[in-house]
Amino acid sequence: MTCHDMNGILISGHTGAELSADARQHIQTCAACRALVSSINSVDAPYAVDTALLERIRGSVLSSAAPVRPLAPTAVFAWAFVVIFGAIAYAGALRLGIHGLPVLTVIQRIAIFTVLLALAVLAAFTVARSMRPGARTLSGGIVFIIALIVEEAVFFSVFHDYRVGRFLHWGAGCLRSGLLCAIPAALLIWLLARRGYILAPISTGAAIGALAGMAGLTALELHCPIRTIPHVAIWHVGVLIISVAVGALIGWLARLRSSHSS
Amino acid sequence: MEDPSSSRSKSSIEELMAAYQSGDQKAANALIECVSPALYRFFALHSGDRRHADDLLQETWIRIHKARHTYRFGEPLLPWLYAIARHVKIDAYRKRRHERYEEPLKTASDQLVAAAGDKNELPDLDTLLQHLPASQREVIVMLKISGLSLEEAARATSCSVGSVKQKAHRAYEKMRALLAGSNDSTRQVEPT
Repeated sequence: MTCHDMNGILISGHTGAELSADARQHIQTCAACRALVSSINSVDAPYAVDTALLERIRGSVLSSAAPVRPLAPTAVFAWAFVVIFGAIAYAGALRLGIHGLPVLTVIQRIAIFTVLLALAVLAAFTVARSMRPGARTLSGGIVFIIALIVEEAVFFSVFHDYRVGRFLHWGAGCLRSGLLCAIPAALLIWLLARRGYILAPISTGAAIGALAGMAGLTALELHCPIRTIPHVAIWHVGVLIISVAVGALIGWLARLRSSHSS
Repeated sequence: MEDPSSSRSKSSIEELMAAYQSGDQKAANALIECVSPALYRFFALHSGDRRHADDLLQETWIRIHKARHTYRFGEPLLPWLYAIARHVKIDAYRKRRHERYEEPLKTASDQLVAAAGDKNELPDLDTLLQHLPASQREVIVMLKISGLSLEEAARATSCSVGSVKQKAHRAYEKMRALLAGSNDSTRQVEPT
């Protein structure tokens, strides 16, 4: 047994009588490990909290300890977010006109919309989990990077037209339409998400932005008949990038405001 | 050795939390009494300043109160509590960024000798923890003092179990080096 192995034993929580024979033998021969185990075992009684401080805490908590209804399970919120994503994307496409869907082949439809739905579910669960302190969740930044890489990979594999065309003119129109769909999606998602207690507003803002951006992107995939790589990869995906950036910025401002007010 | 909030078990503090959510003032009071010492120690070991730890504990309870509806009975309570406490600590750190929290490691052994040398004893865990980087200290406090499991510590610190293990491993290496340093220095000053 080495000191490195001993670390593993300490990390797994064994420091006392439950140590294995090997570990006990190592402690007898290794002064550093013996000192370390002895220090860890020296943890004494918890610190006493000042009674006046406890009284102040009781005063602030017990005076308003009204019953509260526990937050609904994470899955309920996540699927509500997915419904918002789908509803806004479809309503946006209906309003803009569904001209993009007919020009897609069956394989392109399956690839694009399956991936968009899967990424939306991922972002929705990320937002829902971030509403609850201490829940295991991905960061909004990681969700964004996954979404960006997967979306670009899908577009580059299903479209093969590299013509530029009226790049700026067509692109600006799509970007504006996509963002106009993302804004109501972000507002609705935020209205639901604020029912939780968000500890990481920048990460959650980015995840809300990613989900809202995907609603805008989905609306564009249903609406836009232009299927050239430069247009789709830059202007359509641009909706996702801008939404995440704005979401993270709003999160940062919220954190700044709350740290000034607390 | 572990202190998952005094003598109560994890499941009983979860029951107290559920009763607190339903407006039971006695349960809220009991929860404050049994969780506060561990949280206070968490803050005191990080800030090294009792008055600052007082403020952080009070702020944590205000936030726990605001967020109490987000706890779901059946889920582990300690990661929920420590995630909130950790953010209170981070927010306070952002406010007091200009102040130094970290001790330079090169003088750590000397300070350990000063802390324990007079009595010719090994430094205790609290003294050793003062000389670890904040992220490693946080993990050791959670695992060895607050009684969180690896999974619970990972949830509370928003990172993976692997990352918690890595931080704990590095912390033990550093503590071992500090103890070896303090042992050597103590031996050098001892009369033979």
